Amino acid sequence: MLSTPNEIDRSSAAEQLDRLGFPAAQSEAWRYSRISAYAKRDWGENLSGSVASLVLESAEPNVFIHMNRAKSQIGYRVINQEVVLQHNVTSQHEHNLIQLASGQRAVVVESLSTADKSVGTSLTEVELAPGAELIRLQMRRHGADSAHVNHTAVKVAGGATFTNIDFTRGGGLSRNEIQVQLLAEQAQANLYGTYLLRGQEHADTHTHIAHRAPETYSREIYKGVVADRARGVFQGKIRVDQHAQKIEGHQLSRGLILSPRARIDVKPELEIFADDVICSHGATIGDLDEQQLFYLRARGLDAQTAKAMLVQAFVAEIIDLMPSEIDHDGLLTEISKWLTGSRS
Amino acid sequence: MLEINNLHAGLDDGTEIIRGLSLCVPAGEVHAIMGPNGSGKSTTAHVLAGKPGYQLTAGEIKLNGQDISGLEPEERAAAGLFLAFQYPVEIPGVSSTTFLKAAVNAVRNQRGEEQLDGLSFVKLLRAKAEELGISQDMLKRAINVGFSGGEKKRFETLQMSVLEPSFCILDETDSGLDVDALRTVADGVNKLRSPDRGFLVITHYQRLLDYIVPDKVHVLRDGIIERSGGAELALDVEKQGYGLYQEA
Repeated sequence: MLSTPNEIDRSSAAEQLDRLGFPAAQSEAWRYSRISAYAKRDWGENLSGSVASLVLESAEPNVFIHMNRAKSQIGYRVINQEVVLQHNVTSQHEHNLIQLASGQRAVVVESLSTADKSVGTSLTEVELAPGAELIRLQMRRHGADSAHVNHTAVKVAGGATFTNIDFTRGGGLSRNEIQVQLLAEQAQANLYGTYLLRGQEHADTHTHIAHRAPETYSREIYKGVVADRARGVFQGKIRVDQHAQKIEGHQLSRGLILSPRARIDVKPELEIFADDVICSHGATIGDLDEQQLFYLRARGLDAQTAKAMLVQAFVAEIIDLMPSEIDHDGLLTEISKWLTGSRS
Repeated sequence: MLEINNLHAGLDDGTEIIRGLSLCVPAGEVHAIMGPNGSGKSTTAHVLAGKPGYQLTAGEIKLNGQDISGLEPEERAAAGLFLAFQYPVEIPGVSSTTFLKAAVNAVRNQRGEEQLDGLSFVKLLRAKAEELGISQDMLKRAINVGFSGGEKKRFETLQMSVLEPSFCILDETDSGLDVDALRTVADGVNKLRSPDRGFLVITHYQRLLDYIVPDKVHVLRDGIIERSGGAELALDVEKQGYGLYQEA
């Protein structure tokens, strides 16, 4: 049932990389994120070792996929096995592969902690056979003035469920691209995420969910908190093929802005060719509620603690969605610590 | 004891609402402030608690001898002041118990008292909640989320009970309550009356004062106390309406 991976064609990837070059500032996919500022950094050598890949097609030419294919080392492999995997990302460019057979369940926790001024990419390819379930967590902490592009391409068969939860802090430019194809009835994708940004940090989330079959379901909830002069970007596309009737796709992006110079851009996109579907998208952006803050302070909590409590509450919805394998309280403590370090 | 001397206050934009309010509530006493809409009742409550958006232009507010008029809201809470909100704020995502524990320890910390550990706090909370007829289920829910009007006011009373303030301001506690809920909340408040705790009960209607019987009643109009008297003054106001004082 599962596809047979092929060897990555390193030299072809290197050629594509040269041919495409860095995304231009005016390209639509990069309009909110100045990746060109990182073009001159050391993105590493092209490599020659063999890497097995599904070579999932990308919706648009993506130079960072080619870059990853030309330069990546193997990160982890979860093939035909039920596991709870904790993986620490160590290489500059990493390639990961997950293939779950019918009915298998796996939990993968990826921890990425990049150095200041570093640049790199990750490419993760996922294939879920009928009835399989993957829960994947991305715990990403980016160094100052670093750039990292993360691309995930997912194929979900009938009755299978893909859940991705992203928890991101920091980075000069951290980009998370997730592409999901729901290929047969009852295939489901849940994309959740939260990002905490301060200083001059910039995080960019791109999701693309393609409903390629009837009765497929997708749900997206992203919650961002930005302080100081940080900037968050959410671009989410839901595509529904003509024959993909009776699908449901819901997308929600909420932002909390803690200082006047912080900013969030949200661009939802629905591309619907079927006529009997339920699709929704919503975006809210606001600051902390003054009434709530005063209520907490009137009970003795200092302003900083009260703010932390409200930010925690804002993000808690995403934390609550994480599986029991994850230390929820630990994450909430981290959020609280993060807020204390913010200058706002 | 709460002393307010010649208080002038209003909004940040300069609009004056309180125009020379003076009041002294000794420890152990319950005073009521009554007044028509727009007389400055809620502004008084907010200014006393230090709500951002209000400005104090003259006068002083002393709690147990300490001038609290320049303090942050949390510092006033630590000094022993408690405001029971007219409209308790809903805070989704924060459990009532987590909030209460943080508040109790924040206040204890500011007062230089030892922090309560999880177990001691839960014991304290259970005992106080039981006294006030508050279910454990309610304490697991997010702050004021999905609470009925009566539950919100009972939760305010519970907060008062665990934070052990020396002075409590009740801002139109009767609003949004039916008679039964009002009685329950009043019973809770009466249990907290003690010789070292003062109360300022702010209300539009005399009804609340049937259940929380005040030692003194003050009538507020246009940001100044127009008349003071015993509990019977409330009945007078109820019978005659606020109009009487307008003409006087």
